[in-house]
Amino acid sequence: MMKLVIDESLCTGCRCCELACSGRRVNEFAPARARVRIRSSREKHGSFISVCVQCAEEGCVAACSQGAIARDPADGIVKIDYDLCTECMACVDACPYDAMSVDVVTGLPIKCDLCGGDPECVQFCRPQALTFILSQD
Amino acid sequence: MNGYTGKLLRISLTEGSSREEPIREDWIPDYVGGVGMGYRYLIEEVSPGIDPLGPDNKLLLMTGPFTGTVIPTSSRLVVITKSPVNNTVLLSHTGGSIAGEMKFAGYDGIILEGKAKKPVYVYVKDDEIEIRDAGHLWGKDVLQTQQAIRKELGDERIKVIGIGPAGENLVKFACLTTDSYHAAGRGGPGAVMGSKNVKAVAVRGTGGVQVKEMPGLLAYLKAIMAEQVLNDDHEWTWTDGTPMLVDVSQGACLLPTRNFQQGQFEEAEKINTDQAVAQGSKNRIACLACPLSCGRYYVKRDGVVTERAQYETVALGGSNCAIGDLDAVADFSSLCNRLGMDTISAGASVGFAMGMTEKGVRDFGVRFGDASAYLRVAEDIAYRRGVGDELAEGVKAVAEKYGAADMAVEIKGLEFPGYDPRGSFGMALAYATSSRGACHQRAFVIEHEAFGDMDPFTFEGKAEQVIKGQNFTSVKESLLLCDFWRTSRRVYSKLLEVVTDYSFSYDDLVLAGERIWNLGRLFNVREGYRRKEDCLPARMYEELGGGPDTEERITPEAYDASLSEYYRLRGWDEEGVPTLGKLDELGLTEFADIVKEAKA
Repeated sequence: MMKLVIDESLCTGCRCCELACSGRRVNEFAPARARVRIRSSREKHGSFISVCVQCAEEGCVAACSQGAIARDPADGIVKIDYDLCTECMACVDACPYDAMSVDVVTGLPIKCDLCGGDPECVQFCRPQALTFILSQD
Repeated sequence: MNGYTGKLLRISLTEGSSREEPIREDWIPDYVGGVGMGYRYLIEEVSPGIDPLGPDNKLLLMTGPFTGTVIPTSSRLVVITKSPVNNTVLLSHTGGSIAGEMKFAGYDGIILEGKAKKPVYVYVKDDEIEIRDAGHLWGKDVLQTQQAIRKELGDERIKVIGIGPAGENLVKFACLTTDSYHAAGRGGPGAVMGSKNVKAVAVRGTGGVQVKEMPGLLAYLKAIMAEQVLNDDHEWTWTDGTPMLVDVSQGACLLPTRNFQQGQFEEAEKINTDQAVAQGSKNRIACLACPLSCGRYYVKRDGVVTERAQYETVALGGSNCAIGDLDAVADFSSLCNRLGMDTISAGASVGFAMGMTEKGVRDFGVRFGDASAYLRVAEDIAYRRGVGDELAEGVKAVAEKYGAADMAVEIKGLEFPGYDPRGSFGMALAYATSSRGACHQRAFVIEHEAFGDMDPFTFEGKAEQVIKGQNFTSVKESLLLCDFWRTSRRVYSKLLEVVTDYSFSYDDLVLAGERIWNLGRLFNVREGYRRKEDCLPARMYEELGGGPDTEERITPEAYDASLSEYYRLRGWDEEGVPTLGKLDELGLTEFADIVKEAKA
């Protein structure tokens, strides 16, 4: 099973993850289209990370009336089948972690699918606020 | 286009209108980006002799071809304008995320022209441009302004660069502040924005930056990350940040102390890196796209959390004012950031006022080491209250008024940064030949001298070293990469190849750096700058108390000889005017009239 592990206390707010993500996935550096989003707060003296951790709650899966989002039993990644998606965005609203968003160009819901097992964001995260875990269970 | 967006946004404040235009693509091969392109626009569009605080001056916010990408340290912004301090070509850089946001909105640069009839701010939301009323923001500090703009536009992700009360009040060292604490600090760009009745530029971009070979770029960056970025050369940014320089400068006996009367501060250990790290919070802060992360939050003794002061602030606002308390320096830093003042010139001006008071030349009501009076005076400067109104003009003007030139430590009216050249002679030449006045960033030759292997107490070999530094920096700053990423022109060349549609060989970049530097000089020559302005303040010829253990001194003769060598190696005449031959070599012959008029 694969997933990202988040440690917000290590995040510097550099947003290299957003840039690397959009670069790899949509071929341009466009934070508005990234599957991971960082919000920095001066008042709270820190940065906050929104990205799918392939959680057990599966709010997005439950919210989808079309069965377009499901966990892949092979790798544990929750994936969107865009052939079935009707773009109702119920999944985006349902996510308890604000980890889904809408691609501003395609208008489709997007979420992290771990780049298929080699997440680009992790490779550019110097502080290791984002790490990748591969486990057997 | 790849790398560049290819678009420039021009805001006419006088007319209250905006228009988009293509960038001068024909200039890219010669000027690369940011600083180079900005210099070229400025020298073409701003006539000689105009008032820098009048409507004829322009304020350019420029990015580079790497801005908005994941290339390390690539989110720097350069502000270019005619300097309100001294009429030179002013370049002033800031970090943060505003530069990236401009690229995401679709612009390589924004040019502010003319003057608004009443206070406004400019809102750039992708290609929707609004010039909005800022009457309710006038008087607010930088943080309040940023918060108010985000609130009224209903978007927390808007990036803001703007002025505080200091800019509104045309303080000569008013800065532009962004993301709360990053500043285009030096040379008074905030006064230029204030003179145009502009409070801020707010930007929100939802687009992207395209590059020529995305997989190639990502692969190359991952390949060089360990050797070129996260290597030993850069470890200090992660462990200490710039405060580590306090001990280094103190050790080299060139830490500005008591208005540059001493090279060591007896309370340095109270404001050094150990103190800063001990009171640092766990959370690091970085600019957009920066893995080096030199910023850190700082926890004061009373528990209040603020951004940690950087070295220059600690040197000028700390030791140079004899303030041996990092909490007080943090307060000074926050105050300057909020009110929109350069911490270097503000610290230097307050230190100068302390010196004037102690010597009985003029009582500014503040003495060395007086932490509460020093914060009050800094605030008075921003609001031009009482003695602050005098000091807001900078140390040169005040010194002239009171006949105290011997106490003013400035070049071309710009106050010295945190390295006393008497401990590293090459810095004297670097400061004096820097286009905007005394500035350490164009050629940080001290890294080879007091902080390196060259003999710091001689001018021998320094002219060549300064020139190398200035030319290299001119390219780096046109790419808008941070000083803290130490890499080579070969890496720049490779990055340009995978990012842009242009090819820049190593040799092309060497020549571009020299060309850009010469164009800056031509701007200044056109404004009347010659050899006599490239001079050192009197204090540099005096003995430095607690200075380095050496008999060697900077003498007028030795400095003069070094300046002559510098001009000769630059291909300039004895007055510091580029020769026609040099212009020809650099492809700058269209500016030959400036040279001919200078010689006439």
